[in-house]
Amino acid sequence: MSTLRPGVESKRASRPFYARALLAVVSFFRQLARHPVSLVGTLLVIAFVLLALFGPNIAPHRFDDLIRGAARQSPSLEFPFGTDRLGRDIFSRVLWGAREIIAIPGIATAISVFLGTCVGLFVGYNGGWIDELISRALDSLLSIPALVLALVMLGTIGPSPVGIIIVIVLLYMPIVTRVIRSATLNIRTSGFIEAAKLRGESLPYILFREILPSVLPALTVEAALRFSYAIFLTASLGFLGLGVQPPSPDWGRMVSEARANYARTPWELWFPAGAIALLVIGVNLMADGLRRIFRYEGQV
Amino acid sequence: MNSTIPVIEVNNLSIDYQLGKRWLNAIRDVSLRIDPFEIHGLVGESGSGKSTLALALMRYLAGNARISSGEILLDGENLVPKSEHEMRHIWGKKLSLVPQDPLAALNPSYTIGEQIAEVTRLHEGLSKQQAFSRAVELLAKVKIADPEAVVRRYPHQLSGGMQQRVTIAMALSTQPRLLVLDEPTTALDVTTQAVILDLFRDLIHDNKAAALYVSHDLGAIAQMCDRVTVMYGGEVMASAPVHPLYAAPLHPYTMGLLASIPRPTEGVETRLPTIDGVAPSLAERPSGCVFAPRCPVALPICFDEKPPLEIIDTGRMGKCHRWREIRSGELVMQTAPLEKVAASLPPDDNYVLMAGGVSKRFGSPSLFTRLVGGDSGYVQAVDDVSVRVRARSTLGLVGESGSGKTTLARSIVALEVADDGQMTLLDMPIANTLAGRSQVVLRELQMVFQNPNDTLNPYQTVGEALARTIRRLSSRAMTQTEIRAKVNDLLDEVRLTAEYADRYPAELSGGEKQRVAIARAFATDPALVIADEPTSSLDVSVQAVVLNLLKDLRAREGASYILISHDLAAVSYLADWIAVMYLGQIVEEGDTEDVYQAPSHPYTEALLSAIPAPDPTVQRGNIRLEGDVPSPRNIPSGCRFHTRCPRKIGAICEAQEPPWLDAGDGHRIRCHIPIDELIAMQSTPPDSERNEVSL
Amino acid sequence: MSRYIIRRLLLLAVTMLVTSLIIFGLTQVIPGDVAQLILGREAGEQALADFRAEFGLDDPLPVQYVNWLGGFVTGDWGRSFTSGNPAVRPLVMERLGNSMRLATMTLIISVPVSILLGVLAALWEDSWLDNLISVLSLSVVGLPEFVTGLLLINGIALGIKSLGLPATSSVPDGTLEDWIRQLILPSLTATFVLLGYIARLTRAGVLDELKKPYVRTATLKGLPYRAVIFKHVLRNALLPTITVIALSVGWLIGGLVVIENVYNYPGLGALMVDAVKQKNLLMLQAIVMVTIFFFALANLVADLLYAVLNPRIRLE
Repeated sequence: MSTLRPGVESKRASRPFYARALLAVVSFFRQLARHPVSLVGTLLVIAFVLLALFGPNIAPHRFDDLIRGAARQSPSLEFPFGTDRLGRDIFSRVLWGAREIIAIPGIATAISVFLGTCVGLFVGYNGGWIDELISRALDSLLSIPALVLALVMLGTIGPSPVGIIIVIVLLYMPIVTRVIRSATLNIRTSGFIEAAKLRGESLPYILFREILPSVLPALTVEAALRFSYAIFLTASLGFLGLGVQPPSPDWGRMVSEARANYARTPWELWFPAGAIALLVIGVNLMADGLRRIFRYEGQV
Repeated sequence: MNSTIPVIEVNNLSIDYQLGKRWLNAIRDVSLRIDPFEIHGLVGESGSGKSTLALALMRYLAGNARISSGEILLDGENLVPKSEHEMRHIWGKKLSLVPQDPLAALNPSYTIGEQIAEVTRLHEGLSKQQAFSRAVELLAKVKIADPEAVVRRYPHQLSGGMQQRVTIAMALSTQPRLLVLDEPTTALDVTTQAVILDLFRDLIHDNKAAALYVSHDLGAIAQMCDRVTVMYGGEVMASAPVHPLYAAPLHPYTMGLLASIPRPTEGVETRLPTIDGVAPSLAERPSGCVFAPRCPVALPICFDEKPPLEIIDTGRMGKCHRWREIRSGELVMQTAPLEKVAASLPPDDNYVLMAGGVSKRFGSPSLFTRLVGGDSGYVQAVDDVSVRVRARSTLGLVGESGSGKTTLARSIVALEVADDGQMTLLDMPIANTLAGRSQVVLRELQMVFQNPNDTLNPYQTVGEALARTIRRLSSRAMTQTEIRAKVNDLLDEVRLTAEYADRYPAELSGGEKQRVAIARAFATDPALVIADEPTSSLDVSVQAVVLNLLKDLRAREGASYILISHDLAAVSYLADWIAVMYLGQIVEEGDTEDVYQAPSHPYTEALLSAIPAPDPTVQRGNIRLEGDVPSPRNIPSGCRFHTRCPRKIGAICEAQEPPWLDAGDGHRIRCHIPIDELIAMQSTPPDSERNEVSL
Repeated sequence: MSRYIIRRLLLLAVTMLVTSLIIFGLTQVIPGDVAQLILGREAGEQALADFRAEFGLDDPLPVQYVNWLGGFVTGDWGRSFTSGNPAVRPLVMERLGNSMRLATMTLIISVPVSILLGVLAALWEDSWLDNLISVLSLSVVGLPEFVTGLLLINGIALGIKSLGLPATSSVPDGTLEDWIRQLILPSLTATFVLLGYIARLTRAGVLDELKKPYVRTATLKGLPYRAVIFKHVLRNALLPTITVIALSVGWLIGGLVVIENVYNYPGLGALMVDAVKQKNLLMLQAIVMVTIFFFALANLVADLLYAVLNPRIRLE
């Protein structure tokens, strides 16, 4: 099945870069569409990212506007998600809050993935005592439960967006490193890597030009998974009161505060909780779709 | 047709596979019969459908496959309409499978005894106790030493040869009507294979079973089988008793296949006849004769109309429009090697490479082991080996797995850093590490790797891969256009069209990938190319193409080779000097012709004796090696070969390292037995019992 | 095998030592003067000095570390900074007991259900059942516990309230009925987190094994389908699952911070959040060390179980 007769597809490699990129995106969505659930997940994620970008611009109110005489309104046309006990518009607060719940995990995931990839490629390719040392160090970091480490660290450096990002990077960079390391281990003895060595290629060339494309599927799936866990963690920290501090509208903290008023204003709880649920589910379904596309059998 | 009722009879069987929403035809209109006591060979290249057919014969299909027509009669009873539930009473009882990869085919979590006992408890209602003692008897029958201990072992604790014995013991435990052997020796070394083949044939005959023996190896088929069916592209091409099939093949495919096997007797100047092209994939099988696109004598009718499977004479069938012309001699297929290689310069006495005293050991203990202690775990892969390669010649490095041949080659190109040894390339001393080697050394020393599937980066086109090598290593700066032109030249050298430059490796067949790898090696006009089993994962007909190519390039480019292989026949086709390795040392080296003749090191003798000749009239040698290759962690004292040597002369072999004996013309043998005695011994076989298997 | 166990025990000790250093280091970074922080701004110089002396805060850091570690190993975990200065150890131990109760209940619910779902999904791969289980586990597995927890308390409240289940959980007394009453909701919440994970892992494990040639061997021996599945496939397929279950015990003991918060359950995690908020150093260090110990122990047990069940490792 792998052989194509002469003439077929032979023009492909000579197409310009942007055309190839466009084709790749189109084929990505086409493959996603084969599994509608994954497509829905991906569209959800895209919607949330748009919300994060433009949410404050389309929100009818600021997150901290106290609307006179509109406290504890149930959802209506004017206040789609209702208002809280202080008369703040929940819809606006959720829109404003989208930015942080996407940006903090997003930035943290990007940093973890970048660092984890560099270290993972390096130790996976080199092996030897450096690998042993770094792997052991990462093992001990991983032997501390995630939330425990997060609590201790935030307790010490104080809850701030940067603090949360640092915590997430420390937690997830070792995991990404492990995944990339083992993917690299699988191909480091391949003929094409050895051929590159015999050409006298430099280390960066071998790592980023020869190995990286092959670990990209694992990397993409892992990045999506880490993003989902990072959202989970950020929201949980917010819920415990250790996330971004008031008055900025953190979804997790909104849920936590809404608990006390649940009997009178249940919508105060449902909408931020629902937003978190949708976002996390969306990212998970997208990650699963990516795994299907890449037929990546790694970690579940 | 004679009157015996066949054990199994397949009539017009077709099998489809579901791919996405389409059903693709995998096996088309196959008929086959196996008589009682017959060992029937099923031979074909990869993708021919032979394994699918073998399993379908047992009425066992993959989840996405279906039998679309035909019948399978086991003792006259049609299996096709039977449900899976009904088949479970036949499987293991009347039909048994001896699988391809015995380690994977045994459950890792149960002991050998439990797994064998399971069958007899199920089908013969034996008690647990009885079934276990039966398992012990069965293991004794397959000549496993100390069966009482082996029943309590787990599969991973046994060697490959032992595992395969276990699977046949299991298959024979219920006296089945038909055994299906699916490439049972492919994973084994040639000396182990020889022992296993002897054992299998005797057991099948002793048990009065019939067997279907599936293999791609025409040699093993010739030695094992009574009748042979040849498959290609999901169809039966020919079926005949083994002698006429090999002596007077009537189908162009069979003829081409037989001709393309390299034989040790061929000279250095000849090229192998090849079958051009590649086997069709499931989706693109031609509507006419499935072999027509590659057939050298195809007529227009062959492309339009599928030939019928005709009965030629008793027990002989063929599927070709032209078999009558072939039989009558009107159509002569040129199957003997006809082309001569372009005259090459004779090897001169300058040495391209000299490597002296190369040693390499593996397994530095981990940090933990160093702290806590425990066994040192060193593996001495190469132990003080010296080789030389003359200009424009080929050194063949031969040995079984664990012989250190690959490690030696990798040490020479510095993919492994030799612990010891001096090397010179073109009279320049070269470093043992890659970092210490200049660009000139990198350019002059190239390598072709074993596995065609990972030799090219899947994310780079063929053109990108070749261009990168040229740009990195060429002796002068080249423009984009020059590089492009050079890429095209290289592709042309390996008989690929220029449009292959835009292809990705996934779009190439195994043979094409290996040809690109050869092109890459020649991109720098190297002085020495090291080829590590370059054809071991290719089909016979494709292997011939690659071997010819290597031969042509040597003549044209004046390069030298080190060719590493476990296949003595393939090596002899290219090499003019051969070194035989065993457990990290060279035990014999010399001119190719000399190595193939007495006197030989007893190990070389055993290797030669073990090769199944692709000709049923040639009796194989009768030298069989005992036991398994010792672990390189634990190298035997004295002569490394003494634990398995059939010509061991006594305590001296265990105590002292043997000396190098000179047999003339540089032919050297490392043995305690004097040359004259070796010659005398080897001109008369040691004993005449052909099938003796000892452990 | 004994070498393997020694090796693993040694690794456990090293891990504990390294993490104790990390934890001690981290807790020292707390900005500001702890004494001032605890006693308040209006505390006098003398009171501050007394406080520092009492808790050894004046000693050089290495001395503090050695004292702390030595005390920890010998069972003297110090006294809490908080009012009344209660001893740390009994409090932590009490909470640990509570956490273990919750963990037990969770395992009883989640393990059989998730393995069953995973096996079913694999045996009927790509069926509607498989897809349903896959989508459900994908959505449930990623939801933060406070979302599922609140969903359980409030959403299904209509049904659950009639059962008389409390929205906040306290430590059960001895009776089975009270165990179920108090712990069913938090255990269910924790189950949601575990369920998807274990089920997906089990499914992947079974699918992986089903592809292996030994399954074909077993089938072609003529064994009945259920024997092929139960005796041959599951024996190997559940190995990774068992490892993950052992690992999750570590998480169940120290990691249920959010669930304990949602249900107001007095477990170790809730105590830890309090300690963080109050900057109660010794308490925090003790809780973290206990948690890490169980986490590492779970790791060890997982590895040993895997080795015992897997002859390829056991017989090395």
